[in-house]
Amino acid sequence: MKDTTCRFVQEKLSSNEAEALEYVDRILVESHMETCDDCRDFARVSASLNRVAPGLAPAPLPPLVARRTILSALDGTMPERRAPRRLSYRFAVVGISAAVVALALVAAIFGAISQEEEEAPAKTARTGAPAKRAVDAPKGALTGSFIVPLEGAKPLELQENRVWGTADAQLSIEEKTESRARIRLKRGKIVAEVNSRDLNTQFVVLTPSAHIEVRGTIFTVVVDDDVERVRVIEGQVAVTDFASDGKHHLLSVNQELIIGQDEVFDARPEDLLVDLQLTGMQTNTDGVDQAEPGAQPTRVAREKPKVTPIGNASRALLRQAKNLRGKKRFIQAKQTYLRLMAEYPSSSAAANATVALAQMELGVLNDKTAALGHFEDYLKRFPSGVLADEAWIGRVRTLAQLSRHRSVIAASSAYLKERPQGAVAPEMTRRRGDAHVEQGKCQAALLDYERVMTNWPESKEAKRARTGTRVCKRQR
Amino acid sequence: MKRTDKTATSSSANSALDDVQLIGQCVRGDREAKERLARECLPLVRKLVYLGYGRRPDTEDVVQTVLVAVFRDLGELRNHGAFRAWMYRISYNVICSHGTRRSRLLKLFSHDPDIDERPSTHHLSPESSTYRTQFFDRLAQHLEKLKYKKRIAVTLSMFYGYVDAEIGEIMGCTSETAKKRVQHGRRELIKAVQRDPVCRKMMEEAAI
Repeated sequence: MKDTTCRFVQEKLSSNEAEALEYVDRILVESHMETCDDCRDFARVSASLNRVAPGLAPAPLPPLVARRTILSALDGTMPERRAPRRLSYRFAVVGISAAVVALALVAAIFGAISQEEEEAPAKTARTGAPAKRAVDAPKGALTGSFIVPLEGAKPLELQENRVWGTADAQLSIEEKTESRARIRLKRGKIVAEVNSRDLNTQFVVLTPSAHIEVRGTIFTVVVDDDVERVRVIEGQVAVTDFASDGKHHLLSVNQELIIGQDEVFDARPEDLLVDLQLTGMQTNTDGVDQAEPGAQPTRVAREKPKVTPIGNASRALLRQAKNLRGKKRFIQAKQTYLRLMAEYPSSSAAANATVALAQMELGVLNDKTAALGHFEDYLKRFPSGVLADEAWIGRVRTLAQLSRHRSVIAASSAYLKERPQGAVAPEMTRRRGDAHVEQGKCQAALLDYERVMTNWPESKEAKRARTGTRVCKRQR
Repeated sequence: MKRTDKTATSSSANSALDDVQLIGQCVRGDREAKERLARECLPLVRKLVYLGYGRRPDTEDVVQTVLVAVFRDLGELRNHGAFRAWMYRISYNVICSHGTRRSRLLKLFSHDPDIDERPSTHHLSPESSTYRTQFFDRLAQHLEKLKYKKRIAVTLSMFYGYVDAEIGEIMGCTSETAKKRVQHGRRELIKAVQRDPVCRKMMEEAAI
């Protein structure tokens, strides 16, 4: 049984089929309306509206306006109308407010910058322009330009890195993000231990005349009134010496550079010892007072367990990467190679890893550009290395795959000039011939193929050279 | 029986639009035919836009947009006999898109109904003072309180005499959905008229 409420009746009366209700519905509606005034009125209004509505229309447009509208419609254009005043007024108000806020922001930013510049009498290392002066750090903040109080054994921690300093050290942190830390040493001495294991991270120390970039190392920077020094306790440090026209130096373990003097020399052991004592890595019982000038520093706490495991650790990483490759987990293998290269950049394992990674990138990962970079990196760093031949031929193969035939010819010619009977000379010669063919120089290509077939007649390359010769002759 | 009287009324009123020949001439590029068709279309579109979109400062722009779209795409109309439904479909789409855009703007600029709902009067003619026109405006005001889809469904049903299936076709929905929209929309409109004594008086005078 249907519920004959007002709502039901009104819905029935509102429908398009109100005049053609089903028999049952009509009985229900009519019986309800007999007792309900509201629904009767509803039905009356509904009927009136149905009768009147079709004949209603908006006020017609004046003829001229209508004519303009029609012509514009036929031309496909909109007649120009004045924008609604209220809306445009609001747009104007919002626009002006936005402009005022923007101006205020710009003024605030410039004000802050100029205030910092006014307070900075020192000069930056790169440009010689006045640098930002250190201001007191807000409590708990680590970024920004402020003096960091360093008191010997209490290091300043920046991500994975630690910085120790003498009591008079004036240090400001210019930038500190997850991937980058830049600190400026204005005065005094700091010892920094950089433990970042990521190739993409950067740790930079700026002094008035130098830019020191490091990764995975321990080093010392001293800024006195008349001299600036950089000493390396562990790992390697790249120094850009602006006092010597921006000359670059790569300092290794126990080396020291005086900024402005274009010469790297061995650091005095007693200085290294003092640096280690500052960090707490060397106890004071073997302190500087007891150390004889010229004696070897006793870096027992840090050096002994560290130096020996480096070789083991790097080889272990290399083994791990090889295992991963064997299991076809190439991405993890690549990450391991990169980690090895980052952590032990000067180790032989890292050199091997460079070539291995490049070969993997060329073969499996199909990242030719990265492969080329790694091959070239190896050749640059170890031009006479054990894997130099591998790196040479890898480079040429990569260039050939990148269709850089002119570079193939240049690289193979350079190799053959240097090592005419080198291990990869047959392939190098054949590839040079192939590159000549690609460039349409069949005569030169035939000479190369001929050389391969004569000098290494039993090699695989001789077969390929014969094929190349046939192709060349067909083309001619 | 499905409201045949109203359908017949609207059909006769718009018989000129059903002239397939006229539309054929327009498609062939006859400028005069186009003007004639535009003259026929203009009041129909204006009525739908005024009821569906409401009487706002940019209502005439919406009418214009519909007409531009109609004449721009006329060549793509395959069934010339379905011209009206096709034109109302375009109107519906334009009204919906303008309505959405306008709602967003009003949300951004703290809508003041007393100002923004003020009807534009720059084009009013002496005829606008008639009861019928005033009643139309009054009804349009009540219709504006409904949601767009209901409003257009009620307009097509009550003012144009379309049945549910046709409304569904125009609005791109099923006839059941159209039926519900019409039913609910009409009920809300009638309730609003019931509560408005001025409107009731106008309705009675207009009926006479």
